[in-house]
Amino acid sequence: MQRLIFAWTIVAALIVGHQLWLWTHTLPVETDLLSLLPSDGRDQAAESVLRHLSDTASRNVVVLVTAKSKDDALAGATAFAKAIDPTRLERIPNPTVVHGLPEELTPWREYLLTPAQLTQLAKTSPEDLSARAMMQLQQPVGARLGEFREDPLQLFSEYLRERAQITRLRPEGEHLVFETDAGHHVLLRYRIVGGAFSLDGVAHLATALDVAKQAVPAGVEVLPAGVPLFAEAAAVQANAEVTTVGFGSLAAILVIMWLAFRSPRPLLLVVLSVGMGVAAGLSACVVLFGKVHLMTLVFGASLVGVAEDYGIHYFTSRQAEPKRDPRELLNHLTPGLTLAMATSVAGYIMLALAPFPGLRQVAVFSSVGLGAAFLTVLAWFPLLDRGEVKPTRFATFWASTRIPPLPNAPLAVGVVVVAIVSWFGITRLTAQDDIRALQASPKALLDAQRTVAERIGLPSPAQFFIIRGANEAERLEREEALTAQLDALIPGKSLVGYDAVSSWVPSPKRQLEHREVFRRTRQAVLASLAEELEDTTPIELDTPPLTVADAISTQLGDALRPLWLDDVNVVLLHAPTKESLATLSSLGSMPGVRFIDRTGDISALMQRWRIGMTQLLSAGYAVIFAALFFRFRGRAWRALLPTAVASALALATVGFLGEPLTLFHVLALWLLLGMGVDYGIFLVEHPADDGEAWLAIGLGAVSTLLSFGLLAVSTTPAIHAFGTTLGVGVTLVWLLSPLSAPRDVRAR
Amino acid sequence: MIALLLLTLAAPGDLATQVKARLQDAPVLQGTFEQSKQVKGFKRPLKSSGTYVVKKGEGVQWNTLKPFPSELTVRAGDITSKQGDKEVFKLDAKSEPTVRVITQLLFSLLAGDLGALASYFDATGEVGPTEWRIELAPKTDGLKKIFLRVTLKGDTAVRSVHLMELNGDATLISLTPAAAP
Repeated sequence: MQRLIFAWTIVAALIVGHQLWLWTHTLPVETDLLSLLPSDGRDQAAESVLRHLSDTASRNVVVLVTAKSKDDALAGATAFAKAIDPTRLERIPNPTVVHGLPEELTPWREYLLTPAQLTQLAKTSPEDLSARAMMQLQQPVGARLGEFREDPLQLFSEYLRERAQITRLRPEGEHLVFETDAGHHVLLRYRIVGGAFSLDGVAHLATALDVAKQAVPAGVEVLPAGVPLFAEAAAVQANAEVTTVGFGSLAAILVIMWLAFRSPRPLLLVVLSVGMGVAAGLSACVVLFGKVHLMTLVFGASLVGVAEDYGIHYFTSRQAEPKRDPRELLNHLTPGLTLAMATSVAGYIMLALAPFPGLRQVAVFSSVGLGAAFLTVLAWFPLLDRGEVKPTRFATFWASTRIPPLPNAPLAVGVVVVAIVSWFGITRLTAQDDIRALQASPKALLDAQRTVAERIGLPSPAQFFIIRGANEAERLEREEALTAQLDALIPGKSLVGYDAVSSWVPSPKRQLEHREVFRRTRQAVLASLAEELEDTTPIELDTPPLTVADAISTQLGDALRPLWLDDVNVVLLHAPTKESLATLSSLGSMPGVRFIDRTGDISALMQRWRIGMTQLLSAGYAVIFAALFFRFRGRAWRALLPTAVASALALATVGFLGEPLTLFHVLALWLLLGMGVDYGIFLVEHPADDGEAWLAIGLGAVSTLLSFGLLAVSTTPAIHAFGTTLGVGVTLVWLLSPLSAPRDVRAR
Repeated sequence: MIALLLLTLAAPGDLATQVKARLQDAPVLQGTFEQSKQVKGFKRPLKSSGTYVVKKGEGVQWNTLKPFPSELTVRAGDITSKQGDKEVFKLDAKSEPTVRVITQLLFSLLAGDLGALASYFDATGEVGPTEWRIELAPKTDGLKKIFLRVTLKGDTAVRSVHLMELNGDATLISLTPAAAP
């Protein structure tokens, strides 16, 4: 015992020290919702593409200024840019273009033709081609590139014109402008200043954007978009939820403890045990993961309502036997408390099995927290709790309300009735594994994001292709095979477009084919115009074919670099429809091509784990039953039955409410198993008492269900799912557990 | 003579007003044109002729009748070129913003709208009692890559446009306005 006190005091001192350090420095809080999702361990390249996409995305904000006329849009954009708070958002300047793209690509003009040009040239006769050349010359404004004998048909100008449509954005002064059916747009790009978000619950970015918006004249539309805005909205929301759940649970405990004990000592000590639990959980997360996710904090705040159970149990026992030595009393309670703690921790550990980093953090936070609260009770309470714990009227009244256990026959009837009711509820359940349905971002932000993405043609960050090959030539050839298939999807609107290196750098094989066509056509045109021309010898270039490195050294570099990695190339998709995913996925079987569908992968993973964890649940019950049997033998089922019944009814409630069943509901059932069985244990453990176990679980249950009930108000669907299932479940276990408690002893 | 001299020395900003004062203001300008284009590498200048219509606020229609019949329509939103009924090319301002610049330029050159040309060119010139002649030097980087110099001549309407391109091409367009209907 002395050793435990000593050891725990040292550990506690370390935790407190770590906490002091954390709070005086910056608490490393992560807000990126994507980091809660599992990574694709199978493909390193896919991972690095995803990381790159999310790294750039996670710091950039774009603002799209739209007006009926270009002048209004430009004036609006200038006013906005002037009014934005530069300590929050820093303008990303437009790239300075020294040479035009035409000059940069001129050495390779003979190699560059679009697919449309190829078909056109193949089906037009030499006479028509010559006529076309002459007709172009008779236009009043020509602006031809190069000499006539270099490119009589001006194929290179045509090529540049068609390729330029890949991006609609055109620099104009300090702005990027473009036009769609919605009007004239100016795109402003910003980088957020500073890294992490402050946790003060104030939407600094949103405020800065709103203030700047005020400076824009009426009639000009301003739409901001970007990952940081979503992260900030989540951070502000989470901040409010942490406060609600944390302080709500704390207030509940204080009220209940005060009513039950009417003395500051039990109250302060229980708060101490909970405080140690939360601190230890936080420290463990920071040490293990290097940071804490906001969602862990929201979920972890509910720990306040769970970790207090051990302290409450101790004090209700003290109250029942005020004369007994606290240390001796605790020795008597320890086996039950240990078993209860072990089952709860086991429940949380089950969360960590699923390969979702977010759930693992929650599991670590909660199980370490519970352990620390438990050890605080065991090591410090007898030491700090001197003196008497007086009975109060509230406590005596509560203890007297314990419902007598039911005889076995009505109990069996009850179980059958519950089974039938649950069956009706459970058959109404519909599963939902789509990660998109779990998005909780504000609708206004989502709408703005979608509109901006459609207008600019932003690539999808979740679906793309990666291509592998032995060398540059093979990689480009394989990409060309793929993009030929993608081109077929564009007319049907399944896909708006794509970004691919081969759009600018055809494979060497294809470039040589292009040059062959280019030169043959030029020869024919020049020959037929022999009478007009001073000289019909074509002016030829002897540049070797364009390589990816060549193209990256031009102003195309910024666009091409992210698409061309060391051993893979990436094809990004512009707004693929949900319906096109099956087709896109089937293209992943082409040689060297792989289709990455992040949302699809995660949804599939969620489904796999929802089904797996549901099937495993019966095994979980068997393991817990084995642990109970070890201590209670023939009475073990009495500790477990309330939890089983409550789980069935909680699941049925989700069905009756019409909420879709997700992985998180199933995981909540695991937690319910771990925590609910505690109440059964306490009642089976102390069957002969005067109701203090009933008081203990009552106090514990009320605070627990308050905590989880408060989680149910969360706007994050996963946390909401935990809240509903556990709120309903814990209430039911609490009310049902006396019914199945051992009867024989009570009758004595 | 003194008057002419004074006018020649007039500040460039006044040129636009003076030319405007001499031009006949009409919503629609039309007539026939003769174009002679000297292209580097060709033995002879390439000659073509046809009709034109310049509509204020709408755009320009350039119908070449000889030697290759073709129809060029330049509007604020797009530029299309047709050969008979067949569309040879179409440039949409939404995807190709330079269309707006080309449209504006061509319209202003044919209509002699120096005010609109001022944002693209620096103008110098002589304005007589009826006849005038303006030299335009490109101002923007984009235009400097294309044009060396543009010369406009006219009286109550623009009579000729002489485009000197950087690549050595030179185009002389002579306009004969049709009698007002």
